[in-house]
Formats: sequence, C-alpha cells, structure tokens
Amino acid sequence: MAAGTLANRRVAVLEDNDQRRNQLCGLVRLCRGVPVPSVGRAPDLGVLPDYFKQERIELLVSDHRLYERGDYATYCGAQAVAESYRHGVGGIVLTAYEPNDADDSLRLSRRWIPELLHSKELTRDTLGAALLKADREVREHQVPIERIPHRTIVTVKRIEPRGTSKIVKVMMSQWNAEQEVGFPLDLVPKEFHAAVKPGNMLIAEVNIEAAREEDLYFDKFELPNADILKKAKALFVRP
Amino acid sequence: MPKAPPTPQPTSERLRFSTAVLRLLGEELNPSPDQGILELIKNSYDADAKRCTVELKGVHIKGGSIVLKDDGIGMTADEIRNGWLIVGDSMKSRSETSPSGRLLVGSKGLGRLGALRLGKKVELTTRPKSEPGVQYRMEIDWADFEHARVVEDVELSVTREKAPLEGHGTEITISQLPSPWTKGDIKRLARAILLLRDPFAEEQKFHASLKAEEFEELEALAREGYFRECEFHLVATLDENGRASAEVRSASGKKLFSAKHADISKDKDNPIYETPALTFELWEFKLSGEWFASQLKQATLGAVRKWLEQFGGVRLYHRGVRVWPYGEKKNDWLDMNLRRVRQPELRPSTNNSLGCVRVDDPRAVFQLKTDRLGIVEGVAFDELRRFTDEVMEWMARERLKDRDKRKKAAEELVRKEKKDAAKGVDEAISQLPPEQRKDVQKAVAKLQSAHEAEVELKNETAQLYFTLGTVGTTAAAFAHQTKSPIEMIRTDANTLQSYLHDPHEFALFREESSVAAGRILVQADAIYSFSSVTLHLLEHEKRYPRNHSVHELIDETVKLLRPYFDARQTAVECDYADETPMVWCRRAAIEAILTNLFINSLQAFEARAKEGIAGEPRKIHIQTRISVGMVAIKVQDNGPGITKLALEEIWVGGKTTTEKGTGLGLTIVKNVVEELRGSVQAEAHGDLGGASFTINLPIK
Repeated sequence: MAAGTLANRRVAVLEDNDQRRNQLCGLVRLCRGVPVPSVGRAPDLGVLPDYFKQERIELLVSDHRLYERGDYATYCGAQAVAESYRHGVGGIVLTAYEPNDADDSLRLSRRWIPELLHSKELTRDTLGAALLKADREVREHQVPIERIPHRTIVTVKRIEPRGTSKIVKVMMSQWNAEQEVGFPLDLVPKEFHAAVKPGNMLIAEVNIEAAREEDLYFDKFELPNADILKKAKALFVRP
Repeated sequence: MPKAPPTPQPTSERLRFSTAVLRLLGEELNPSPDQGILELIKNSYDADAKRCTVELKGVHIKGGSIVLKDDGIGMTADEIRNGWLIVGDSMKSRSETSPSGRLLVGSKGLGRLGALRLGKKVELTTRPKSEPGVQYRMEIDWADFEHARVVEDVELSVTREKAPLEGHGTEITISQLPSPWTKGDIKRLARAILLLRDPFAEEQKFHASLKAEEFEELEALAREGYFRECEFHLVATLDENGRASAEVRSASGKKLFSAKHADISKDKDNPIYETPALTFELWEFKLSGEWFASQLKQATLGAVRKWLEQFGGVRLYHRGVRVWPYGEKKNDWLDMNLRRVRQPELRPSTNNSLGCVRVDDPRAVFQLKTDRLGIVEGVAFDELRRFTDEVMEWMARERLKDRDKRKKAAEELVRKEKKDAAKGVDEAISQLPPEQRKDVQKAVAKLQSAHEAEVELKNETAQLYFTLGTVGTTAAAFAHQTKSPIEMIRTDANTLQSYLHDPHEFALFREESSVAAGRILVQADAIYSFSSVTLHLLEHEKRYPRNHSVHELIDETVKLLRPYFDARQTAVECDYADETPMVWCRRAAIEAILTNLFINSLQAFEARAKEGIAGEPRKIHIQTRISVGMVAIKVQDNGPGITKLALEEIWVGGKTTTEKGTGLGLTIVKNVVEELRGSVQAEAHGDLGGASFTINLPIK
C-alpha cells in the first residue's frame, strides 16, 4: 500500500507500554496519519465513544493486553476495538498472539474486530493496510469474504477450564475437519449452557472463509432441531 | 349410452426387506463375535437363568460350532414367533422386570442376530417352564436366505416335541463356523464372559461360563482377588436424590477419610448430581517393591501386577451387566491417567487400580448405543462422570492433607530421636574413663560431620529443583514481557531497513528513524535485564547454606525483580524490624519464597484489571517482625485477594485461577518454608485488602 493513504486521518493509539506507544505513533506518522495517543491512563470503556468524538478520532489501533502495566485500562484491546466498531470507528487489535488469548478474550469480541495484527508482523505497511481495511468494513460496509458469517454446525469436543473461565473446544467440518477451535462458554447464551456438552452439536454464525484460526468468530448461537441434528450427524459424525 | 369403465381399486402392498439387510444388521452392527455371544448370554439372564454355559466345539478348524445352554424359563411357541424371531424389536420393556424381578438388560435383538449369523446354521431347542414336558425346536439355514429375494420369503418352522417333565431352559447351537478361532479369540471371549458380571461381587445369582481352559485360568486368577493388598479402598455412593457420600479405607478396613455431599460437590452451592443412584468402588494399589516389603504383604508385587493387567481399570455395570468398552485397556473413560499426570502421587491410574461403577437405573435413564459399544452420552452420563471425577478429586485433597500431616509428624519424630541419640552418646561418653573420652568424642564428631555432608548434598539437590521450579514460574509469568522488546526491535529494524532503501523517504522522516534507532538500544537493555533475572536465580553459589540477613535477602530479591515491578508499575514497600534477623539458609531458598509470592501478587493485579475492576496504584508491602527465636516475614498486596480458591487449596500443585499461572508457585513456597523448618499462613484478605502471606522462620 502507498504510505500516504491515511492522509491526515486522526488515529487513536491505546498501548500501556510507553515505548511501544511511541513506536506506534511513529508508524502512524509514517503512514501519513495523525496519532492521538492516550498517555497515563486510557479513557474508560464507557466514555470511549465520547472521547473519540471530542478528539475527532477516525481510526483506532490498540494493543490487546492493556492491563499489564499498572492500571492503564480495565479492559483489553479487543473490547476497545469492538466498542469503537459499534460507534462507527474502525479499529485494529495488535497482539503478541498468545494462543490463550485467541480462545478467550480475543474470541469474545472477534465479531467486532475487523482486523487482528500480530506484533511480529507490525510494519508501517501492514499497519496502514489493516487500518484502511477496518475503515472500509466499518464505515463503508465493504465486508471482505473472510469476514462474512455463515450458519454452521459446531460440534462440541470438550470443555477446558482456563483460570476461572471455561473454554469450549469445538470442531467445524465446514471450516476444517481436523482442527479444534476454542471459544469462551460466556459467548453462548446462558439458556443453552446445559446443551454445551462433549458430542453435542450447536448452530452458530461463523465466518468459515477465514484462513487463520484466530480470525474466526462465533455469533448467534442456536440449538439445532431434531431434523437438522439427524442430517448433520449423518453428514459429519464419523462412524 | 356406453358404461363408464370401473374405477381401479387400490391394491394392498407391504414394505419388504431384502435378505441383504440381514448382513447389514447382523454383521456390520456387530463389532466382534464376542459382543454377539454376550447378547445371547444377556438373553439368558433376562430369562431368569441361574447358569449359562458356552461351549466351543472344534472351533480351532473351519466348520466348528458354538453351543449355549441355560436353565432359564425357556420360550413358548408364541414367544419364539413374536419375540425371538423379530429382529430389532424386543418383547421386553426396559422398565419392566423378569418374573424373578431382574431388571432387563437385553437389547433390540440385533446382537442376537449377529451371534446367530456367526455360523451357517442355527438350531434352537427350548423347554418353557410354563409347559412342562414340552420342547420347541427350530432350525435356521442361512443359505435359504441367500437364495431368497426378501426376508419374508423364507419360511421357518417351529416343531413341538415331547420332553422330560423335569427341567427347563434354552439351548442354541450355531454350527458350521466359516473360519477357525485362534487361541487369542478364545481368550478374548473368555475374558468378556467372565467380566460380563462383576466377578468380584460377593453375591452371584447368575453365573456365565465358557467351557475352555482359558476361562478356567482366568476365573482362577479372578478368584485370587488381591484386594487385601491395596493401599486405598474407596466406596462412593450417590443416592436417589443425587446427593453424594464417600469413604476411603485402608486394606485392613480402617476408615481413613469420609465425606458428605458438600465435601465432594465443590461447585458453587454444591449442586446435586443429576444421574441415577449409583455406587463407585475403587481399589488403588501402590506398585512398589519397597512398599510391598514394608507392609508385609502376602502376595508378591509381580502377582498383583499380573492380576491388575488382566482386570485393572474401572468398568461400568449397568443393571448388573457390564457395558462395553468402559474400563477396557486404552479406554480411560474417567480420564484417570490424564489427571494423574498432574498429581502423580495423589491420583489413581488405570494401571494401578481396579474398580467399578454400578448403576441399577430402574427408570432406564441410560440407553445403550445401537452397536452396544457404550451408553448414549447425555446429561446423565456427563453427571455420572462429574461425580466420579469430583470423588477422586476429594480423595486426592484428603491424601494431600494426610501426607503433609504425616510428613510433619515424621520430621518431629526424627528431630526428637536425633536429640535423644545425641544425649545418649554424650551420656555414654561421660561414663568413659577420661583418657578415652577425647578419642571417642573425635570419632563421633567425624561421624556427625560425614553425615551432615551427606544431608547437605541431598538438600542442595532439592534446592536446585526448587530454584528450577521458580525459574519456570517466573518464565511462565513474564514470557510476554520478554517477548515485547524483541517485537519492538523487529518493527524498528524493519522501519529503518525500508527507509534506508529510499533516500527521499529517509530525508523526510530522518527524525523518526533516529528515534527508532534509539529505541532499539533501550529495548536491547530491557531484554538484557529480563534475561539476567533467570541467570541470577540460577547462580550456583546461592545454593550453599550460610547465615544470612533476612533484610539483605529481601532487598536483593526486590532488586533482582525490579525490571518486572517497574514494567508493571508496582511499588514495593518494606517495613523492617529494628534488629536484623539472621537465618541459616541458602539464598536461593528465600529468593524462591519471595519470587513466587511476588509473581502471585503481580498476576493477581493483572487478573483484577482484566475483569474490568480499577484498583488503587499497585503495591506490595513486606514487613518483618522478630519474636522469640523466630522472624515473621509478611508479604501482602492491595490486589483482589484470594477469592476463587479455598485457602487450603492454594497449596495444591497445579491449582491456579490465573491464565498464566502454573499452579506451582505456592507449592514451592510451602515446600521451601518447611525445608527451613518454618511455617507459612495465608489470609484471603490482609491489611491492604489483597492476599497476605506470613512466613515464620527460626533465627540463628
């Protein structure tokens, strides 16, 4: 991408590590954008939309783990980007990508995160391209194919305790019949929790065109009726 | 006017089944011949038989036969017609009982079909109890079906014959087996028949046997019943209301631990188990030669091993009859081996234990799968597994408590014995003639010194393990911290590389590039500091015991971990006693205690923020106080406190509530403190609101 495309757009920068925050601001400048860093303490999640309005923010880049250094924020980057999505500001999450995050805090908000950038891939080019892609999805509603949801059969394989939360490991033949994917049990509406058991099937909207496991999101869970269950078992359950 | 043609009348038709369906249902739904034969035995059980024998005739060559005989109530012609001959149906309702009150165990008749098709011909002779002096006989020649198109085309006749007035029961002969049976096949069938009913149950109202050498050998081995050689015997029950209770006894029957429902169901509000009433019994063996010798066991370790190899694992008995394949080798349906990996000293495995889960299930909640390989897994089955898992978890907790108690008592005893022995030696020396005393004192001192050197060597090795454990917990907690500067260097290097290729851009962003270069240096320093922590923890010299000032050791540890405290904006405050407490210890020991407590605090701060709770600026407070012969080191923080684990559980290895925790840190703290002959207490919420740990150590 040409480095000039951010063309003076104001980009909010949320990062609890001062050095990293400065680096991100530098990269935004190199993309010809105007960085607006939050220093000291990030605005509370509830006032983030007002803050964006007040600072005339058009885009957001946020580190995922915002709570490691002191109490910079009481939320994670995924939550910040999801909140800004709901208020019409496109954003990206920057993550050191630890597998635990993918199944847990990232997956919880992944539906509303247009782009996830791995820290080791961070350059001015990848940052600029990711921000523009997020902007297109949120403001112009140009949703790329890998972000479009499809009703999908999700087979529960097991439930793993992770700290004090529970991660549901599932398999989706329509995405990859060989790879398990995890999401927090909290993502499933409470009334369906009793049905989330190994061997059971659920239906969810999943962006099954996504190439990477960490890009998958799960939304709108429902319980399959007996007919769908029968067909699904015939199709997907190995004898 | 011509007549209208008559309206055609509808014809009466029937759905018919091709004879190929017999193959599909009989062979393909039958995983092995054993399962088919077991189904026939289950039919005998349902027919109230007391004995059922299976005989193999000439099966080592092609064309052999299998004969099954029972002394059950037999079948009338009507029962043959409307029950035995209908495939996929059963006259038995699962919630009914047999005439003698047995809960029925036979299934849909598919297993029977599978068994009958093991040979080319079947002969059935049955003498119904309700018709003395009568027997019914019928033959099935499967070749007739091969020549027919649909199953209904083959006629089968039932002949009524005279029979002696005495006796009743059924005999089935499956003949012309198409292939020979190997010794392995026979052995497998013998084991399956023996385990169909719990061979260790005291009451045997039904006995199934195989007339074969292999069966007799196995039955003799089962009769050995090495239960008296076990270390623990667990009996856990679940009543009809889903409430649990359990007790663990020793081999001699002495009660060791017991539990009520609330001790076992540890989730919030102690939920009941939503599964039928059941009993879970488990015998765990300690397979160590040393232990067998010390406990004066009657059997040899080898014999018990051989017995466990054959009968080990936890089997499931539904209505008194085994459900395959639970408890078979490689079928660890209760995840026992997986959990043992985390607590090898406290949890049983399928290799060192034997047990069973017995469920009567009068309301037929559990349904067997069509291929009879297991039960359809629904909520009730999950709840059954939750129960067995939580019972074993409770047992592990009790064993841990017991182990700690015994360890403390043993240490106390050794200390006392050592003191008494030293006193005894001194007394003996004092009674010696004065000219001999010096030599003996010298020899005793030399012996003592050699012994101390040996103990020291062992302690040093133990300390190395504690230090390595601490390095591990540190690495796990701060992995992200160490990774971050590397990623930043990578990004800056990338930026510089791209600009250096483009002089125009470089000129435009000269300042940005210069900042990037400066940042690389800062981050390189950060990596250096983080990696130094591990190297410092591992310094060899720290593992030698010396007389140390506790205050100096605290200062050193805080300094060592300073990069992490700074990176996480955590203030560390110290409030020391006026006097300097001196402790005889290794530096690494105090460092391991403090490092693990500090990591615990830092992770708690992070967990609190992650949950969306803003707190006061992060603070860790260390206080020392001296009382008679002891120093108390109190480490507390202003984090959320201990909220998701009971205080007694925080010391259990592998228990953690944070995503990056290993669950080993506090276990290391406890072990090291005990090595130093001290004690450690935890409070869920100390003076600052967060967790508080007080370590008491003897001072020099």
